[in-house]
Amino acid sequence: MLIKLLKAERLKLKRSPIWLAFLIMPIIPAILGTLNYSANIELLKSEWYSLWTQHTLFTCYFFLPIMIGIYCAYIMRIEYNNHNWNKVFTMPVNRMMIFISKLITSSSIILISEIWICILFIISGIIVDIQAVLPLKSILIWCLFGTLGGIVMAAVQLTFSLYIKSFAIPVGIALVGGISGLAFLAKNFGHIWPYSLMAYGMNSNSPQKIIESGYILFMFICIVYIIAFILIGSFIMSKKNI
Amino acid sequence: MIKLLKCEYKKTRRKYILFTALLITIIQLCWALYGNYTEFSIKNGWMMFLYQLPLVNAIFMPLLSIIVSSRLCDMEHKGSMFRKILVIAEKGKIYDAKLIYGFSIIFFCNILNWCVTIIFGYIKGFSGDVPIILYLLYLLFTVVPTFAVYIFQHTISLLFKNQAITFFAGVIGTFCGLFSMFLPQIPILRKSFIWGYYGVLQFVGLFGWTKEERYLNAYFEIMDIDWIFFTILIAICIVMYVIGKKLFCGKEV
Amino acid sequence: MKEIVKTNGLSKRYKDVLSVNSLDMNVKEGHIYGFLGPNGAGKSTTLKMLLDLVKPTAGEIDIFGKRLNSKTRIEILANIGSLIESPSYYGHLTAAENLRILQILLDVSPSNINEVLHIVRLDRQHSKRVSSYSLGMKQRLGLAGALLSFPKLLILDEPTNGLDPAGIQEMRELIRSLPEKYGMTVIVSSHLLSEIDQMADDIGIIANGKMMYQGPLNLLHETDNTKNLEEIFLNLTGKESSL
Repeated sequence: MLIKLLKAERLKLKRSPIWLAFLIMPIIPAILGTLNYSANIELLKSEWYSLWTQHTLFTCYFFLPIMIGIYCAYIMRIEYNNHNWNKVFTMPVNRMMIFISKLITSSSIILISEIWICILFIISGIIVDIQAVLPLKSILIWCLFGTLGGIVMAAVQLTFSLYIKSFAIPVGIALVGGISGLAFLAKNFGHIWPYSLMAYGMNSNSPQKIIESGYILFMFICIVYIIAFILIGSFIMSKKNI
Repeated sequence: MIKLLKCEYKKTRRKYILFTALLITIIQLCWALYGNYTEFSIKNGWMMFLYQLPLVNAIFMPLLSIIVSSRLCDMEHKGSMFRKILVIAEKGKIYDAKLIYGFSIIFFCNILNWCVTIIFGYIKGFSGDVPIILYLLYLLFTVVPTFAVYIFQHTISLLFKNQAITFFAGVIGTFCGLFSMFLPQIPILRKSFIWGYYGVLQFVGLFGWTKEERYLNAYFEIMDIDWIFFTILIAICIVMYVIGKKLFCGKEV
Repeated sequence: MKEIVKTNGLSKRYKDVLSVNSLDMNVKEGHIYGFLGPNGAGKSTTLKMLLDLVKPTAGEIDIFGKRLNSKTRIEILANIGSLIESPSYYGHLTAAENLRILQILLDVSPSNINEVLHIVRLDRQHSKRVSSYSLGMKQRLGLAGALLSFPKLLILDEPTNGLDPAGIQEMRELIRSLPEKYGMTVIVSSHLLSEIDQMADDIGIIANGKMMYQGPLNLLHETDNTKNLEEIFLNLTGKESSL
């Protein structure tokens, strides 16, 4: 059932090139962050790690949350348009699975942009000629955790976008959420607040950093949130009167 | 025109546009004003704000513009209302009415933001009186770039039915603007995006800050104001307005 | 004859308004059931309850002899095709792509897509984006979507909306042919009496959420002595509103 739904979701996104935005967006911090890094090379001493901060700082507080917000709002929006819920809900599929398929669709775009961020990062490191050995393992783990934290955010945003018919309001929530994420990180609650998890996982020079012993706990919290919001989202969906 | 504005007001009832805008402004204020106020920052508080706040504005003002403009235009797209209202009123006037209505909300948030910032400064006990001329300049240099950004958002929100496009365009622009502020070495960068003008028009600089001594010998100083680029920005506004209106009027519904 | 749809005391309350009031509906297999009533009588709400789009506040629904609930809904929905209110579609996709989405979800043969496009006569325009379609074409696409799985039961809510006179005639003939050709049972709602008169085997007349008459169409003609369905309709619905 899920495979069918995923195929259908992919078809629905045909000819709406909003995934392009996820490819364009990381290029900006990659170029400008690298420029900034080279300009302040005497201040930024930690080589790869300094460059990583330059690349990801604003990305995980503002821009990726908003992009996720827009994407989630969009994939719920196409169902609100032209009475599509009518059709979707009369298909012989479980309503929870509909929510899950939408979550997987948005998760895959998050994964793609994280991989892209990673590739751009390595390329710019080579361009500015960093001498130290690339901490590839750490970078991959951060991207993976960033994805996981991003999925939590997507689950929350999908729930909002399902509940609120408007397009702009859930995106506004994503903006506020991203900033609240920063605030919670500053207060050392970043590991339990859904909007902080992405920045926390990506280790983008946030006040609170993830340490190796916290990996399991991090994954556990993410999974709990994801399950919780799948349940909440499916509940809203099952109670939906058209 | 008054009729159309009233009409806009009536249409936005129960849409919580002002409420959303105020909420974002409150968040912005919390973020901008929250922090550790050391002796240094109390002493130089007024100047410090003028130095720091353009950065915060560069993030929030464009995002606020995206949300408000999209919300105002989206309700028309959704119900295919353009077909109906275009029969009643001239296209150009609708463009103007929506622009005025939307930007008034943004302008109101700007003023509110500005007032709260000054009141906050007094409550915190910043030394001296508020340098009101400088603050008025700061207000001007916040409102004008925001107006430019708003015209842009307003136009693309009207042109594209798919609001995801307008959001992405706006967010990417904001991102460019924000990053350009961190690269004062390449001034042409910030001057080439309308979102970068919060940085172009920032007229207080921090000098003497070093990594070792931090704020020990630091001081704020007023820099030259780039009036040429301020004029260029106003010219950009006018050009964007003319082009935007033309595009909207030429669009078939 | 077997009953495909049977409801018992079906009601829906929206806050203080009882928009469907203990409705007992019986639809026989292989028949065309005309569901008739003025605007706002509760037709769409009733049909939506049959499709589990709206949850009833009281009463039961049996479809294909099974009680409709969260356990059976998928099994039941798999055998129903529907067109409710305005047609559903993704405007940025073509007709064929829209149907492809449904075909995947319904798990039916891809060849059905061309077949239904042909039935509703959209086979020439299937590669245009649906947002550029006229209302009538969208309605045809909606019908194509409803027919896609050649379901046992077809629920059509005001299917002739937005069609031109020729289109209405065509749609009527198409619906008329479905039971014989594909063994379908059809529930078709309308506020146009003449339309139902030429299509239905049985009718149900609803006004203010209550079933005013239900039974074979010809019986209604006979009992009321007037040959004119319009008069009967106004009589039945008028009585209720004057109460």
